[in-house]
Amino acid sequence: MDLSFLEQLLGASAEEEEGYRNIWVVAIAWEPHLRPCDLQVIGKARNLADSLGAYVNVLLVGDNASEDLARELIAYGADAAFWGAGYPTGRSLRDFFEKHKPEILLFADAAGGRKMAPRLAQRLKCALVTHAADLSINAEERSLVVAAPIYHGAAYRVVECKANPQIATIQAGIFPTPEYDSWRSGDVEEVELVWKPQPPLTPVEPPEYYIPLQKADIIIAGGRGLRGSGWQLIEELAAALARRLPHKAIALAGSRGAYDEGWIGPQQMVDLTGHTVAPALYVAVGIRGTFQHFGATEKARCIVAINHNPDAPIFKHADYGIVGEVEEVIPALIEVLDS
Amino acid sequence: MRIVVCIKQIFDPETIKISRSQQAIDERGARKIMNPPDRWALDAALRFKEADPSIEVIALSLGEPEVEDVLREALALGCDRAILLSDAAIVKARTAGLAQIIAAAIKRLRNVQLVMTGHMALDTGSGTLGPRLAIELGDWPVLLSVDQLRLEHGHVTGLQYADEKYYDSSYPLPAVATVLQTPEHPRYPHGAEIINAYRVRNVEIWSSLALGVDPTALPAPTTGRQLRLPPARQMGFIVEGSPQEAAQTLVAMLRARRVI
Repeated sequence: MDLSFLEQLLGASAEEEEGYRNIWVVAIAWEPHLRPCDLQVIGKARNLADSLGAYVNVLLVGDNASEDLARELIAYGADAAFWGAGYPTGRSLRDFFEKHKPEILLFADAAGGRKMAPRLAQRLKCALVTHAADLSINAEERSLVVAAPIYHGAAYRVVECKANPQIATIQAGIFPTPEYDSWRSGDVEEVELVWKPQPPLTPVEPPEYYIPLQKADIIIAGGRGLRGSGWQLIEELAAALARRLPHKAIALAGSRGAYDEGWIGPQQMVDLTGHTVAPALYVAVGIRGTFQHFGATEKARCIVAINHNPDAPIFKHADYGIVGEVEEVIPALIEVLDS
Repeated sequence: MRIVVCIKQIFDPETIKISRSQQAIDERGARKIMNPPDRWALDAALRFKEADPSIEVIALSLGEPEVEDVLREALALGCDRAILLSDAAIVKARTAGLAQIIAAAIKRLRNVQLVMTGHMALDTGSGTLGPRLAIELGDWPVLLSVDQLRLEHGHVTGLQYADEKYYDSSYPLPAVATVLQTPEHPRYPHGAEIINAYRVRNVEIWSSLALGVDPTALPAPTTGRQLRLPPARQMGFIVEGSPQEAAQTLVAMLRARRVI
């Protein structure tokens, strides 16, 4: 009699016999609080673990890692939290994961994970899928199926991991931040890793006009179509919106074209090679529209396009469009907003 | 001292076509170019060479023989040497194996103090080559996604953007640096230099056998399944009328949707 289905029900698969089990997440506490991107990864790991019948274990490192933060990780969905204050050396991190043998290992695609994940993957000589935008489990093989953008989001390549540990970094802002549930319980343990001195980082002044685009409610973005006084016009439009909506964070940004012209810095470039944004309102002025730009603005709740060219691809992507010269449309908009 | 710049040849993302009906990317007729972030890395390396002529800049790439074109371009821009790692095994290698073979080539070059590359390849790149190389080179430090790169007192320093803050990050050489694109335009080669690069200059071709590495020894750890295209967005609503009328209608509509 074939009892393999029963074994599967009991969770005895080939991988488990080898000892690879559970989903691990590496979270980082540079500041004395948890980062939303790490929590989002834990939320997703929780989903995956429930469909695998596995536990979610989190390793929390960084200067400000503490037992209290580790307890918070439990409340956000982890089954066990391991913490240590400091930056582990690559070797000790490898030894840690060789000992614990994660079936799946996840990082946030943010500072820390971006460097740690590929270095760890190379030490373990295993695969790594970066910038994951979607994850699921192939239950038969117990393998991770990951969708990651190629050509900057023009398409997503779906790959299936074949060997344990299956490592991925997950884009921030794709999955919701899980609910805080203070009734959850789990083990919290301090770990002994080999720590290295803090990386030599000196904070410097951010460039002028800087509001992090990810935090903006409204983004006014300009493109190559803004010749001459055009840039000044969109600054005035941003000012008019700020007068009308004093409680909203309004940021100025630009397309790849505006960046190439030298009108904005790299921190203001909305493009898949720059920043991906998700504001409530995105106003694209004089931007023709490339798919790199569309990819970066996909999550905006409402997109308004203003362009003189009725055939500009941006109109196919926008919720509302105005065809007209920027020099006429923007002053009219400012007037309406101020009235 | 030597600086190695790793360059990838990619399909120009602006010339590929996306076929929604076939759910595929059509690369026929697409132009092949030097990966733009790699061009910025090369540019930064050549600036170092200008400041200190004792620095030797070596361009390195990997893949089919046609990749030679980007290396000739690098020579035309002012690189001292260009090396192409190419044979049947290398073409089949995957990320972990690629890092091994590139590291083997860099080790053979000797006296390499800095390895530079773009922060990611704009086609199917994962942005992991830099950190992976650093491990294979013997745990070198990595400056990840930096701009305004500087070389001073045996350290490499760059401006790093992490978690919404800017940092000046500095590591002692030897190190790996992956470079962001910055507003300064990188240089493009002079026509005569391009002709020279094809007529007079030489691209060295190294094989994995000569380097004593089998890049296919590591098993392929992932398999590709399919391509998924993002859903097409609904066609928008064009607000008609004179600029004044259009502005009034637009503001009314945005207010109705409660976005302003």
